Amino acid sequence: MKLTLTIKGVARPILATIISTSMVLGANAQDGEQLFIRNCSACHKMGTRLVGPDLTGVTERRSEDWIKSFITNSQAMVKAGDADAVAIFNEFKVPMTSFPLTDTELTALVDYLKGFGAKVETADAQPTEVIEEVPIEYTEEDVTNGRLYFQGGQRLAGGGPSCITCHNVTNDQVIPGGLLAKDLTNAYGRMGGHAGVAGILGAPPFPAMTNAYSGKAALTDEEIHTIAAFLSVADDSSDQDVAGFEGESRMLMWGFGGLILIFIWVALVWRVRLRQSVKEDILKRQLRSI
Amino acid sequence: MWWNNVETKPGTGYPTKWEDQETYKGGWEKNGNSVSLKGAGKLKGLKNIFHNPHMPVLEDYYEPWAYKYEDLFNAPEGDDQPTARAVSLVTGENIDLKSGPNWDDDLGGSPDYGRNDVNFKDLTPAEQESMFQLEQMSFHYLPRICNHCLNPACVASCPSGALYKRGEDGVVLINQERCRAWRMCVTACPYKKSYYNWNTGKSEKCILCYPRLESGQAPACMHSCVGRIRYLGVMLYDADQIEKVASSNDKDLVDAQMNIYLDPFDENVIKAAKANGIADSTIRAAQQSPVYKFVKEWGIALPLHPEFRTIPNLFYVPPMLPAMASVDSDGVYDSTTESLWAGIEKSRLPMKYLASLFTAGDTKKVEDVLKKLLAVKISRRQTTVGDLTEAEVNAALEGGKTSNKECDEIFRLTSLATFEERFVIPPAHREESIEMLENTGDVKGNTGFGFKMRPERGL
Repeated sequence: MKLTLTIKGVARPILATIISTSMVLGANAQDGEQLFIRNCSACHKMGTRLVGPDLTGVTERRSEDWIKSFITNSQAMVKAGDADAVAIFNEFKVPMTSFPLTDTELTALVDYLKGFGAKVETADAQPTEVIEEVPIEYTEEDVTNGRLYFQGGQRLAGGGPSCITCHNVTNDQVIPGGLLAKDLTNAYGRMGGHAGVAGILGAPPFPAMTNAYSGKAALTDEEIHTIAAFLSVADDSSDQDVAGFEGESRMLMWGFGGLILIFIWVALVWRVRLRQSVKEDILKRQLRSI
Repeated sequence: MWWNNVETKPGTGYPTKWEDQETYKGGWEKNGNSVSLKGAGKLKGLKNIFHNPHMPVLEDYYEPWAYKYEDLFNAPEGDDQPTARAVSLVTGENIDLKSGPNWDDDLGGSPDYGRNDVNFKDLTPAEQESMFQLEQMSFHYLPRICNHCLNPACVASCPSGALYKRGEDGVVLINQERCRAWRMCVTACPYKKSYYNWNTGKSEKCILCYPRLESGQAPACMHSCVGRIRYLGVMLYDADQIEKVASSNDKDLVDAQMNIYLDPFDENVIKAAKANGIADSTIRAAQQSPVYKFVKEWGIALPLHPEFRTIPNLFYVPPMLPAMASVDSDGVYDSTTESLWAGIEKSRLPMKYLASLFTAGDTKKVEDVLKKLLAVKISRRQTTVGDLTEAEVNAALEGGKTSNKECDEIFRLTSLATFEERFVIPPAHREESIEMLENTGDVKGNTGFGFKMRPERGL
């Protein structure tokens, strides 16, 4: 106690620094895990390849700065021509979302990733086989239910907003949706199939989406499955939709046909009417005689 | 807008062929024991609410114009006389005049206007042709204002309820604040006496100068009539009979209408009038009414186109146009007649024509009126000149179902009438009428005339 008292006056700032550092350090491992689950786990999984690559041992393959930079803005690196970044992008075809994390958070995340460095050897060969093995089957019912969830015909169990509020899917069965967030017509393919979609739906990595669903319970497995089913169908049929001129021309035809019908109806209902001035004949004759 | 116009007949009138209800769909048509509007009504009104398909267009009235008079003074010097060109008051552009008010005045342009008179519909082509033979040719004038009908089609047609007939004097008016420019009244009025004002967006019509009436003056057109042919007076009528009268058969229409007007000297009528709150001064005015004499006592005035079934309250003494000469079968032009007046059978205007105007086709009624008018002439001739035989005069009196005394009365009111005899206007008792609608106590003790609001267009 005496000791404490003596250093009190001088060492207070130091003490404070130590405490704050230890808090960061203390929270590090846990925070890194939380950050990973919240932001990365949608696309990345240790030991397997999902939408993105298996991250086991990534800290050994790449420098810490590279990883941080890639997390913050991967597309900038691709554009800048970083060889590794371009290679990854060419392999996976899916641009990684940018995560505006603070430096502390990035450090925590990298620290967390370091914890998986040991398994490099064993995990390296296996990942590609795992995902292809289990093809997901969607039933008609799944697609229908998914469309209902997407459109809001069926409320999400957690009470969150329906997808259509912010997202658009170009599909014959669905009305045009919001333009706030990304168009999801081809999201299924873009996100690497079921696993990617399910990952994002299970733990949305996007700040706006996270905000929109904050305070609401997460989507249930059934909801995720059916929405993924709908998006898969939407993706498959999107090619036909783009070539859906036939549908549009049919509508145009109906429009013209309807218009002509309305014209006929008007002509019939108002067939008895004054079509010209009563004096027309008189004036015509007079002008002729001039 | 000619709220008050004088047309030349035969002629197409203003607007063109206004009497042709197959074109304009004005007035009422008989519908069982009642009448229904020809061109308006609930279903027809709804159907045509955004476009009223039977209205006269600008050319049927005429495109108003003025002349560029300043050109007469400002034109640069040249070989020609400067002219003042006509400028449309609608577009402001130079226009070639095609027609104007009274374009067919005094049979001007009668190949087009006179021969297209709607009242020729009952006449054979030969009869029509004979009207335009030089020796036969004649015309008369038809002064037209709003008829302030007992069964006004315009009032019935208005979707906004902007038109109304005043209870105290029967003047039909358009409330400029309620008018919503549907223009159903323009179609519904068979006399085409409701006009749409494109500047204010409201319809307007003859108001019978009610502000003048309320202060005991005759309407301006009647007051200023140079020929002194316009008379104004009170008529008491039985409002319960209106539907029955309006829906009677064509041939009974005139008689039925005459019966709706009540004798103001009848004790029962006076009693009933008083019970209905009609002021003594109004009853007195009805007893002195010149109109009552013309219409009921003497029966020499007839309503215009009673077949429109609006029970019009303007009455016309039909014109007597004796032939002064004729062409016989040999083509000889004969300007001598056996007597001064050859009788109404030889009138230049065919009876069928007059009947089409005034009695819904009943020639007998027109003949009766004309015979009486002829008797008046003969009776006066005897009084002033005395060159006729007793038999001639008696025959004329008998033919006209009249007497020397009545002829003298007719002569006096038509020729020598004073202002007070021509216009018998009772005090308006406006205060009583207002009290029926508004609480005059609200403004008691206030000063001034209140606010005058400009009519505003549209909704």
